[in-house]
Amino acid sequence: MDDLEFRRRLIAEPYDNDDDVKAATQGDNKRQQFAQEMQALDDKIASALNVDVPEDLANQLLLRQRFSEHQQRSEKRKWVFAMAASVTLVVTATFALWPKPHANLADYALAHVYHEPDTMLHLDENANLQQVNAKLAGYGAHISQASGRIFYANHCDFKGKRSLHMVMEQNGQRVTVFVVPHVDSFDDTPAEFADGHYHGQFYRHGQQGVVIIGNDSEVVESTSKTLADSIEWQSI
Amino acid sequence: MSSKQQRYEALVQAFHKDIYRYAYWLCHDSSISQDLVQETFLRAWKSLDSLKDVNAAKSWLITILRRENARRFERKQFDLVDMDDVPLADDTSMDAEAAMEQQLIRRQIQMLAPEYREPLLMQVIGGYSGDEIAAALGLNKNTVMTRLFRARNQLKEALENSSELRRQGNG
Repeated sequence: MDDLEFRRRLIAEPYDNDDDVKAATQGDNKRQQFAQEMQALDDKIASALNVDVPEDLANQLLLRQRFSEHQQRSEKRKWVFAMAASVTLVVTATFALWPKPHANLADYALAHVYHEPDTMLHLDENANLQQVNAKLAGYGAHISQASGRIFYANHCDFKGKRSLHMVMEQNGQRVTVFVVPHVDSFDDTPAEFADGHYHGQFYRHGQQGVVIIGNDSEVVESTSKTLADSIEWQSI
Repeated sequence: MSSKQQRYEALVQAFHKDIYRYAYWLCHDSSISQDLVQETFLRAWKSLDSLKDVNAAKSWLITILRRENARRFERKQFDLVDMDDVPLADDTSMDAEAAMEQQLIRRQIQMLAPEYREPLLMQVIGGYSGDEIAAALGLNKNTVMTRLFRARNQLKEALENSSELRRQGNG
């Protein structure tokens, strides 16, 4: 290695420890001295580069990272919360809007009776069997004889289904009878039901259903028997 | 504390000074340097999982720092602050001549063209080898060694000239 190359290498890299540099330095006082000078210069450069570092920089760095971590986490939390809210909304909307079978026919019939209390108390349209059968014909039914008076016989809306709402006399009491077509669109309805006030029975003939509601279970039972004897069904 | 947190804190303790100094010599401004270091370590935190080799940590941080510095120039060119206005190292432990000499070296380092200064920073602060500098800067090693030679040679000559001047002044 000639002097020029030696100097170039040591100026570029004063602490060059390559074997050829070591070999070139060995036994040559001038070169050794030059190498030491360059290393001394490099130490000066290194110490000149060592500017003061703000004292609390490390703490600031840690603080900033914790802060951003916290922020990220709360953003993540916000995101999770938003997702949960949106899932909840979708589920709720699905349940609310999904076309599901109507509620149990018994519940609906009871609600209907409560909604029109007059029919079970004093309303009296004094319908005759002919009028009743004219209306029943639409449901494929015919009653051969009534056990008592017929106070009321009108079409009504039974959760979107046109049904016949009758109030008849049985054993001197008022009994409500609904004739409902297409009962399959309702949930399964128990054959007998009751709440604190009314008793009821339900039976079906094909697609048509009959709901009987009265104050007394025996009266309901006997109405059911009477109807069973007197009603005739045709297919509609 | 999570192990990631521990690794990060160790990283901060071990390297924040060198990273700050590197930043300082890139931009010659203490507050910009602090911002750069903040951004650098924040990015380091976010991608800490990608640091597999502990021995590469310092050069990894320098790589991030250099990228952050480049982004700073994309965003906005800050006004450079004159070195004389900035409080630098605490020189109280030095004698007057050494302090003056250090001041001179600093001014000379600041005056170095960036393409000479940065290999020098990598070598002295970053502890890079010539090959590593070449890889980081996308240059061949000969070019890097030439730049290192010129950078140090400029500093060397400046020092020699100043002591020459002083001698003449004294004589």
